[in-house]
Amino acid sequence: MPDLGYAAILTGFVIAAYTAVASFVAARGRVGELWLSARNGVYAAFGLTTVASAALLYGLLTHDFSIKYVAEYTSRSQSPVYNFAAWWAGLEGSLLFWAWLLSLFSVIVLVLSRRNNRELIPYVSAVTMALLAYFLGMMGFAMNPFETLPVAPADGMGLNPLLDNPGMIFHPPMLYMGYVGFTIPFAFAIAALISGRLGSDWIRASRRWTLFAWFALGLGNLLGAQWAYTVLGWGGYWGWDPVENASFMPWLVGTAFLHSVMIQERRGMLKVWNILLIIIAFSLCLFGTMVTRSGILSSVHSFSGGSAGPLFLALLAAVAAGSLGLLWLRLPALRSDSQLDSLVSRESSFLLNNLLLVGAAFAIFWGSVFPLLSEAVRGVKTTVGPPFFKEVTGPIFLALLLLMGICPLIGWRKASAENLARNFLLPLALGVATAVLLLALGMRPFFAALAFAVLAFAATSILLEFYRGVRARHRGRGENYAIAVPRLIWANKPRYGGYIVHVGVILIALGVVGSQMFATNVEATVKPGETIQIRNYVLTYQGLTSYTEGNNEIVAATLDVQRGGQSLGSIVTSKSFAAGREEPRTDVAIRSDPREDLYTILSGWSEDGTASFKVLVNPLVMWIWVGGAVLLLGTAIAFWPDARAEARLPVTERVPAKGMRPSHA
Amino acid sequence: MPRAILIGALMALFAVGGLLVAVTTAPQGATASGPPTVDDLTDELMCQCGCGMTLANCFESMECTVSGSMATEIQQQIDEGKNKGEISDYFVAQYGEAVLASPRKSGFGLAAWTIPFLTIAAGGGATAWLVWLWARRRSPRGHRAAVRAQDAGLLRRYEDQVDEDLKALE
Repeated sequence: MPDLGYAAILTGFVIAAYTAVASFVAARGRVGELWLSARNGVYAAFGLTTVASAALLYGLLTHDFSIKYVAEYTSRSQSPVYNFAAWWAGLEGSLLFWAWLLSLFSVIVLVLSRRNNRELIPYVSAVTMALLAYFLGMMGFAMNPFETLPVAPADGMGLNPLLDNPGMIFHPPMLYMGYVGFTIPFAFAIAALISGRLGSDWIRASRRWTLFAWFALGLGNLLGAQWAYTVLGWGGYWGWDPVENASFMPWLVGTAFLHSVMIQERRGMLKVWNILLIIIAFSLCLFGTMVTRSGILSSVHSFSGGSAGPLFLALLAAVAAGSLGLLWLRLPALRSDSQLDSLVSRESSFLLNNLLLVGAAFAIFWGSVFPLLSEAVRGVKTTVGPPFFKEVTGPIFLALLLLMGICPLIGWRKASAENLARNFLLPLALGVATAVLLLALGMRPFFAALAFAVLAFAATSILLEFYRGVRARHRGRGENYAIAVPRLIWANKPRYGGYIVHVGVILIALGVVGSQMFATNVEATVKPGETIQIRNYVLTYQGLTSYTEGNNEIVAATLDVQRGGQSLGSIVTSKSFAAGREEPRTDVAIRSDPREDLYTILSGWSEDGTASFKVLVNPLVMWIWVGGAVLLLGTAIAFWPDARAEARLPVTERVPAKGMRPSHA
Repeated sequence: MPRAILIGALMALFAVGGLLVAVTTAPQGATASGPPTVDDLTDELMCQCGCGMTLANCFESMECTVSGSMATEIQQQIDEGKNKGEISDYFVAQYGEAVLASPRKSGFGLAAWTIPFLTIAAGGGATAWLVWLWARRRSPRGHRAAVRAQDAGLLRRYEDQVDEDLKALE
């Protein structure tokens, strides 16, 4: 089976390289037969990466410890689900997962574009297949997931206990889907540059891919945050680790792109900027992949392998240089079609939004690479950790939230003073009232009151948008209000889906501000029967129990919880020790409600039953996860196909490209 | 009915406001003034075990003896009456600048703190200039109209219609 897998990788490499060249030549020379061959090459490359993936999965699930990768990441006692998840747990397996996703997405692009975008698709395939060839080449010649051991061990090492969590099943694949997903809009942008079709076709064709990649990356980050919060046991959900930052940066730039393409679609402006944004977003995806695998930045998430760093750096350099060079060559053809009608318009506010989003990404990038810069310039190692990122990005994100409230209130093209006054009155009044109320009631620091005021402003602004739309439908069409809300949303899914996403972001921000600014913690060592007090909670330690569960030795502490004199029941926090592993896994006890989380960690214990705990009260954390669910809903609505809009696509979109034979797919 | 929705939305916002007040005005564990606590410093110093985490995070999430002994050192320094800055200096002397979780706001470290904001400010200036330029050099109305008709999507037309309907109804 390892031989089959390796053969599939090598054959896949050859096929992908051929397909990349054939697609390009077919498109340039308008050779229909060659394009048909290249199309088949895309399907073949997908088939071969699927065979390689199936061979690795077979090894992972059947404990074929003659394969080094299988021996390193699975064990006989590990559940099959986690043996499956080992596919993306290590360097070589995750590269294969990357390649498989890329080949799958390439096929989906072909299938979905049978009737549209025929000028662009061959170039899109050329780009995705070239990237696929590079990944398969890396595996074929430098990081072989099917490398065998001279002697197969009796059992494998299994996953790190911290990875033995449902988060491992969903969080990494989501991030990979985001990273790989951004390949497709990037490929469309490059296709537009090569083909000279520099209008909005490539944006329309790749819009859902962008949304999908953006959403997958965002959800992947949220799932990672949830995992860290429930498993790592430090009471936080975001550690500003270089690898976390690496997945956050393309999301921020992708967010900027999703906004700025609206200006190009509506006004024919920002063509250069949009191509630049997608080049940056994809380059940051490669940067994130490189950071995780090169070990150039110190991170708890990384799994570095010898040649991975230089190979990814070479790819990143080639992608950046090639795409920027192409953009430079096309600059004269990328002039804006129209101009701004007014300084105060939604277009201007979107530009500001882009500036802040890209600025936030740059601030995080700068902080991530500053240690390297410091060492190069001064020869002194420095660290850029959470305090820096919180302090630098906090004001930028606050400004973004403010802008999120302002944008819907300003009309496209030109906003009159009368409109502005009318639209701003209520949100502004509520925002100011929130700040005054919170400060009068003693909230400190001032930044927290300001942040909540901005959130109130932004939330009111978005709710007003819904209110006006619903009222218009009620008055104009006599619709019942309960019916008018879903119909309003369904009638313009991108617009109202987007607003729902904004509501999700506001809820996430609410949780972040509450938990970052007002968390309380206490550490205590207590004997059975003694109590720990934090805010209005009283925790009474009942005692320790130890037991075996599967392959794990577990030590658990039980505490009774009271809040304001009322019993809330018992909580259990534990540490579990996997056989053959020194490091235990912490299972924290979290009692969550909309107001706050009571977060209890068992830190240690002694023979006499005395135990040490760290207890935190983290306000409003639940809203982060609720916000994530709302974001999911909003994205799904915005993503949903609009049959009427597609049926009315410009005619040029549905006509076969000149000189190219119609597709037989 | 719309008034009822508006009132309902406002009440919901006030309820959230009340929740915020209840949550955030509760007594805090930490004090702003007075001698520093171990917690004040464990977030600002990096564990030296190679985990790449702050002392606070490493201490809670890993079985690490290094973070424990560093926390004990912090307590000793506090007991000696040192302030936060002096304790940070003590650790820098022992482990080098990399022990600080963020660069100092002086010398070369100042670049880390200022460059992001200077870049955004420069970008803001460039954006403002571009917006002003674009607004000033408006293209001929006829050309714009033609371009719009050709390039604008269905979405824009729909939203414009919604805006017009709203205006007519209000």
